[in-house]
Amino acid sequence: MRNIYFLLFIFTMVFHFDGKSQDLLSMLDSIKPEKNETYYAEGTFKTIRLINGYTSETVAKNELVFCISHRFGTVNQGIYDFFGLDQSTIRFGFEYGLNDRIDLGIGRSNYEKLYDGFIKIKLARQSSGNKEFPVSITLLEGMSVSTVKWTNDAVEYPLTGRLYYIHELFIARKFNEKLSLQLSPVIIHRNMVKTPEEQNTVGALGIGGRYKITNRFTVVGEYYYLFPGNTADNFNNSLAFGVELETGGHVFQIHVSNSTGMTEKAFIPETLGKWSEGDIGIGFNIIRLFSLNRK
Amino acid sequence: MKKILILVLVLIFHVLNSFAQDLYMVSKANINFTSDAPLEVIEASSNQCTGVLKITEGSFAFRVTVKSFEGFNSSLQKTHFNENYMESSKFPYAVFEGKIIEEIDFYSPGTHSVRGKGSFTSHGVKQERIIKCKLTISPDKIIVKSDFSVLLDDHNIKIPSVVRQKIAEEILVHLELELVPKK
Repeated sequence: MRNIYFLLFIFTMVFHFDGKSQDLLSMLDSIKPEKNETYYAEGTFKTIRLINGYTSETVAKNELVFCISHRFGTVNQGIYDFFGLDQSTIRFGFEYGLNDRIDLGIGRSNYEKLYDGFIKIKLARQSSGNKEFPVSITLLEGMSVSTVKWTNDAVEYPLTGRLYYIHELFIARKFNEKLSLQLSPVIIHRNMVKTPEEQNTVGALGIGGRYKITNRFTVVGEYYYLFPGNTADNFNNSLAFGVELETGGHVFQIHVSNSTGMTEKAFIPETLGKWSEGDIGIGFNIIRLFSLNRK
Repeated sequence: MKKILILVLVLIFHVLNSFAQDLYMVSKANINFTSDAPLEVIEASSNQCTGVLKITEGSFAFRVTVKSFEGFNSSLQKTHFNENYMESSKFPYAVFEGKIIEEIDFYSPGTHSVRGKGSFTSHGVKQERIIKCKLTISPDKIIVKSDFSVLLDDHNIKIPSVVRQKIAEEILVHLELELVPKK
């Protein structure tokens, strides 16, 4: 009988000792949070623009983004034009977040004296945790109007003929902290084109991505493939490479590209430059974010 | 033999029971931090904290999910917090584990000022810390309140010179936790 008590005593001690030696931290791993949170992928791209085109990012509620872009002439013009820097095409634009998923943008470019306006809607967000979704999907619906003076009196050029429509979808995935890629199918409709042979409606597929070298320095690339047709036969696919530097509320983007336009209507179906012939120009975007939230 | 069996069962029950009784788990949490820099004040808070306190030995472990902090002055700031400074995908938690220095009676209600000694890990860098806090013990729960500061430099969080006026070198943390016995 005494032996049994002794055994029980030992047993109790061992049991107790076991309990004591249990690592409290490893215990925390076994706790399931009561409400399983969903984490949405943040910062798939540094900002709303990749190079010439947009990204799946939208501007957050009550925030305003100002973007000023320049595209210089082609570098193959040599020293006389200072490698294209003597000529420049500009666009400046604003984008404002109505809420965290919808934003509105306007812009003005000296390329065909183009005004543009658009709405971007985040249809789906990449998420992990409770709700899992592999990609972010953003829809862009835009319109632009060319306001260059018409000098040919023989041909009528009504306002409706100056309008362009853009429908684009951005399907993006942040694979890890460094790599994000996006696919962007786009349809551009032009109410009026120069010749009957030209397509009024042009389809293209964009592919773009970024790779973070450091937390604030990124390399980016962007390519728009024109679907076969008259446009694809006479114009070139837009290809651009660049780097991004982020400092607080600013993002500086410097790149080389064979396109000179900065609106979808301009750089997707109207790119004439050829990389193989050195028709590439230097360009930059300076993007500044202002928070209008009252603090 | 029957007696022994009953005795064994009683003892096991007793052991299990006492084992459960001396563990307190975090049931409610509010952790907020303030960066008070000359040009900008940044605040954020989280309620995503798990933790356990073993009252028999005064040992504890608390863990906060870095990604769960909300607030900030803009969503971009939150992105920068996670991506550039805390690198929360690489280092998802801030952890404090250790032991309470003072020996206090957890079974009688009262308020105690105690010091927790242990290792504080944030941004993957471990620091030995002694953190003061106030414990309020009542029969069914323990409330922990604490104010302490964290130096960014201690945890290898680098601030670029252009934003040095906007981010404080010393981050003030205020936390309130409610712990209840583990069921």
